[in-house]
Amino acid sequence: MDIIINRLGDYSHLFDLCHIEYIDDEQLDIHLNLSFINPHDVLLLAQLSIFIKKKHLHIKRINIHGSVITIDYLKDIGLISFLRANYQQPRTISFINKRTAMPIRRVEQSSLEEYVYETLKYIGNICRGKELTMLSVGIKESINNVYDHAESEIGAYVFCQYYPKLNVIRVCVSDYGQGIPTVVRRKYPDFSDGECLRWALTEHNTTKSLPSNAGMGLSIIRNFSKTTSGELTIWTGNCCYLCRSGGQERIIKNISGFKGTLIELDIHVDSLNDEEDISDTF
Amino acid sequence: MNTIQIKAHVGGTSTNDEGCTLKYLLFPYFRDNVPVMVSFKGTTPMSSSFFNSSFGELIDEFGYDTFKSVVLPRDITASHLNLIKMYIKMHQQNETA
Repeated sequence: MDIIINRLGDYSHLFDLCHIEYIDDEQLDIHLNLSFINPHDVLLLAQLSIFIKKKHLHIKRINIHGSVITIDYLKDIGLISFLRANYQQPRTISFINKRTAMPIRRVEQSSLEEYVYETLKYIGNICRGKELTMLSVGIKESINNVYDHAESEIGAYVFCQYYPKLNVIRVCVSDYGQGIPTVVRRKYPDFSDGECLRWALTEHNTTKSLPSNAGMGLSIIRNFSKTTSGELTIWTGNCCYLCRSGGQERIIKNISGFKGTLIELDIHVDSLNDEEDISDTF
Repeated sequence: MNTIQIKAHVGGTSTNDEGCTLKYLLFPYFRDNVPVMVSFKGTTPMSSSFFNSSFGELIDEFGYDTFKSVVLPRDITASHLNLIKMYIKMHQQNETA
């Protein structure tokens, strides 16, 4: 079976494969007619492929095709290996210096600290002297949300890319769980998907999936994006939340058939303060 | 004065479970109102989940004034300290809401 992707975000056919009951093919070939690929595209391809293989067990191979530049990039960041049958994630995390990226990882809560530590170490070496608190917070809050709320069968995936020419760190976390609107509608059944997402982004709002939840995580990431020149995008349910430079927020329609939640945070390094140790009290 | 090195005693500063571990380490100091230095050396900036299950629950039980007098932060960056102060402020707003 062939799936052709002609533009960024054109993944509805892949989502369709996650919903249909049976596919009569042992091989899936994904053709990327793209000249550029974002971290969120990488994670979507990774988790969609993993879910499709999990659901349709007789699919033995998923191949990705594209330009030499695109395939070289996807090989270097680990996506091609990720899709191999019986892939086992390496125990240690090694950065990809050639691409100024951290590799795609499936992250459990037990390995979250290690991933964040290695990412801060690697990015910290590139962005010397800059305080990277929000990089840590962005990854931790997003991953914790997956395990607290999402009920994702395939866990959480993370990918982090630094763009030297833009001086931007782009970090992306995704899951294939129930999505924010489904969780919020247990509390507010009449909310639309957009209303659910706006509610979830508001400080102190929490569905209390766990007693310890206090509704801080998403609002912290959102406030950071609004008050700096950072950018935040959240795909979930039928809608997509955008926060762009200057704190401009809007909600638009999502990719048809989208499942799960995907968060992508841009951190503009130039807007970060220099790191310094301090002696103070609370 | 004693010092608790978070990195030596707790696996990380990411999850609720890790926060609970810190809470139980600090509890005797709060109970006896004895100041303790808490070293953040080698830790990554904490998540809100970690805060809620550690400092948050101690503040709930003993009050913010006791928290301020018992927990003396050390080896911490300005941005990490400001993050925790932001968590404290949000926590207090949540309590009064």
